[in-house]
Amino acid sequence: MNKNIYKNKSLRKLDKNTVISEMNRGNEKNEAVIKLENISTGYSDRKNRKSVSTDVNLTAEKGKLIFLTGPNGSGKTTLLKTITGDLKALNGRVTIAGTEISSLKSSELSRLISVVFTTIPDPGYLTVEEITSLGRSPYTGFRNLLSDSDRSVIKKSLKTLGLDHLKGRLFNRLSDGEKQKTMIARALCQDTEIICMDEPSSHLDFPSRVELVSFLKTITEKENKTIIVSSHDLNIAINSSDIMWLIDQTGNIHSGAPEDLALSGTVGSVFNRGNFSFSESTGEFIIGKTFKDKIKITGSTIPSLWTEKGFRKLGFSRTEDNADIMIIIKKTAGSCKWHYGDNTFSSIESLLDYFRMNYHR
Amino acid sequence: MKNKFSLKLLILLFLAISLFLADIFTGSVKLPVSEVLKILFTGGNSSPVWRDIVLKLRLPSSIAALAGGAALSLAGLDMQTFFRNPLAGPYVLGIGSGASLGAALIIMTGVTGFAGETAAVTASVTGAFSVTLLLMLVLKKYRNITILLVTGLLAGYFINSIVTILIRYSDHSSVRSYINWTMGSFKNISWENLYFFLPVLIAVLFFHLFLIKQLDLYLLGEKYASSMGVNRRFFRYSILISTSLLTGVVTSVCGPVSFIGIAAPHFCRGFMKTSKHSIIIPAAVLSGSIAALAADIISSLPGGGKTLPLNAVTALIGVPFVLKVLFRETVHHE
Repeated sequence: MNKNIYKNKSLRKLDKNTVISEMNRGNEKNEAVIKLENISTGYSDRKNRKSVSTDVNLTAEKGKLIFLTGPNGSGKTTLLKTITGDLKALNGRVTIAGTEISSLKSSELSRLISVVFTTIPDPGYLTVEEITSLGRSPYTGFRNLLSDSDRSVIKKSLKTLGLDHLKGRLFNRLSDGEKQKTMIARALCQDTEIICMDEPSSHLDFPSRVELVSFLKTITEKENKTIIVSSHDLNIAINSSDIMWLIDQTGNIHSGAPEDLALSGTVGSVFNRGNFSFSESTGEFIIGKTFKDKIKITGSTIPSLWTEKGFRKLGFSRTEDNADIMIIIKKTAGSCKWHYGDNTFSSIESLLDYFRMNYHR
Repeated sequence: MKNKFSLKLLILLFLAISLFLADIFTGSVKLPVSEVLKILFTGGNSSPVWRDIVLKLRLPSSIAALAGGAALSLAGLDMQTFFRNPLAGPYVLGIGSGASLGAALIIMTGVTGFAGETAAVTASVTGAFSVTLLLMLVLKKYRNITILLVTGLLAGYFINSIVTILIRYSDHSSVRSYINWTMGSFKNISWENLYFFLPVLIAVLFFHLFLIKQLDLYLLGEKYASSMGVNRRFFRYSILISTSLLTGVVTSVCGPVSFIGIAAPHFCRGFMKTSKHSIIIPAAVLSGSIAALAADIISSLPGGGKTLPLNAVTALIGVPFVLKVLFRETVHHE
C-alpha cells in the first residue's frame, strides 16, 4: 500500500471506502474492522525472539463485543498489544479498517483504536470531566481547545457511562469502579471504531464488573463500536460476549460465539484440569469431577436447581432414574421443606449437613 | 472555574513582584527605599556607589533568583509529570550532580570570563543531559519507579565521588570557590552570567506552549498518552532536553540550589487544586520564583556582610515540606 495516501487528511473517509469494498467482495453483512493474517505474536530484541502465538488468523467485525479469554500466561495481553500497535507482530499483517497498522503514526492510530488498561492511573488533581475530555486530544490542536462538537461528544460519553453527576469530582476521590468507568468514557470520547481493553475489571468488585460489562454491551449495540476485552473471567465472557477468542495452552486461538465453543467442547478442553471441569450442560465450572452417587430431586424447578448445586459439592450428580437417593421438595407458603426418607429438613444447609454426617458409601 | 484560577495566578504574580522588589531593597548594605526606587525607575542622581550596588549587584542577582527559581520549578514539574512520581526533581534523581560535575570541572580548571562562562554552561547542561538520559533508559527498560529512584541516588553518589577525587588534586583557592558554589547562591551574579540563562529560560518556556497537551496526557501515564496519539520518542526527547537545559544553566550560574525544583510544583498543585498544565505551568514558574526570592531574602537577613548559605535555607524549609507531601501521598495510596 502506498504510504503517502495516509498523509492525506481524508484518512477516515478513505478507510470507510476500503471497508465497504471489503464488505461487497465478501458479500457478507458484517464489516471487518480488524484483520489479523498469519500473525505471530511475541517479543523480540537483538538477542532473543520469543513467540507466544503463531499462525493467528482472526477477524473482528463491526459492532461486536469480543472477549479474549484463556488461562493465565496464554498470551492475552500480548495479542492485545499487537492489535493496539504497542507491540510489533513478529510475522504477518494486522489491518485496521483496511490499513496496515505498522504504516500508521501514533496520531493516526489514536483515531482508530482507543485503549483501556488494567492499571488505574493517578493523575493528581484532575476531574472526571477533564479526564474524559482528554479523549478528544487526537482531534484538537496543540492548545487542546475544545470545539462545540467536542463538547457534545464529551457530554454524551459521560452520559452513556452514567457519570453525569460525578463530572466535577476529582478522579482520585472516586471508587475503582467509577475510575474505570471514567477511563472508558474517555476511550468513548476518542470516537474510534475499536476499543481495546486489557483486563479492565480485574481491580473491581463483582457488582462493578457486571455493571461494566453491561455498559460495554450498550456501547457495542448503540454506538456500533467494536470492543475487544481481554479477561480471565470465563463466566462473564460466556454470558455476555458476542464472540469469544479463546487461547489454549499451546497458543492456538479459537474464535466463535461462546455458545458454539462450549458446544464443541473447546471451552472444556482449554480450561479443564485435574478435578476442575466445564459442564456443557450448565455452562458452569464444576469442582470435583468424579461423582460417587446419583441423586433424584423432585419438586419445583428453582429449589431443585439449588439443591442440585449443593449436592454437587458433596460429590453427587443428579439423575432422573436409577437414583441412589431420592429427595422430595415441598413448597409451602413461601418456604420449602426437603424430605429424605422419614427425615424433613427446613434448609439446604441442614439437609447437606445430614448427608455429611450420615451418608457413607 | 476559570476566574478562580486567574485570581490565584494573580495572587502568585503579585507575590512574585513584591518579593522581587523586596529582594532588591534588602542586602548587606542598607539603602533607603526611595533611593533604590529612584535608581531603578528614573536613573536619578544618587551616589555612584549606590547606583553600582543596585544596578550591578542587586538587580542581576534578583533577576537570577526570579529566573532560577522559575527554571528549577519548571524542570521539577516536567519531571514529576514525566516520571509520574512526586519525588522527582532536578536534584533528587542525580541530575543536579551531573550538572555539578560539569561545572566543577570548569571551576577547578580556573577558566574565567566569557570562555569560562560558556564552558561552565555547556559542561553542566551536558552533565544534566547524561544523567537524565540514563534515567530515561532505566525507566524504559525496567518500568519500575523504585529502581529509577535508586539509580538516580546511586548516580549522584558515583558522580560526587568523582568530584571528591577532583578536589584532592586541585589547589586551595579553586576548592574554596567550588565549596562556596555548592552552597548555592543568587548573590555575586553579574549581567554576563545571565547571558545564557535568560534566553534559555525564555526559549524553554515558549517551547512548553507546545507541550501542554502532551504533558496533560502524560498525567495518565505513558501507555495512555501514547494510545491517545502522543509520539513517545518526541516527547521523551523534549522533556530530556528541556529539563537538562534548565537544570544545567541554573546550576552553572547559581550552584546546585536544592529543594525548589521538587517543592515548588507541589506547593502550586496544592494551591491551585488542579494538575492541568495550562494552569499549573504558569503557577509553577511563579511559585518557583517566589520560593527562590524568599530564600534569597532570608539568607541575607543576618546583615552586616554575612549571609546564610542559600542551600541551608532552602533545605530547612524544603525538607519538612517534601516530607509532608510524601506522607500525604502515601496515606492517599493506602
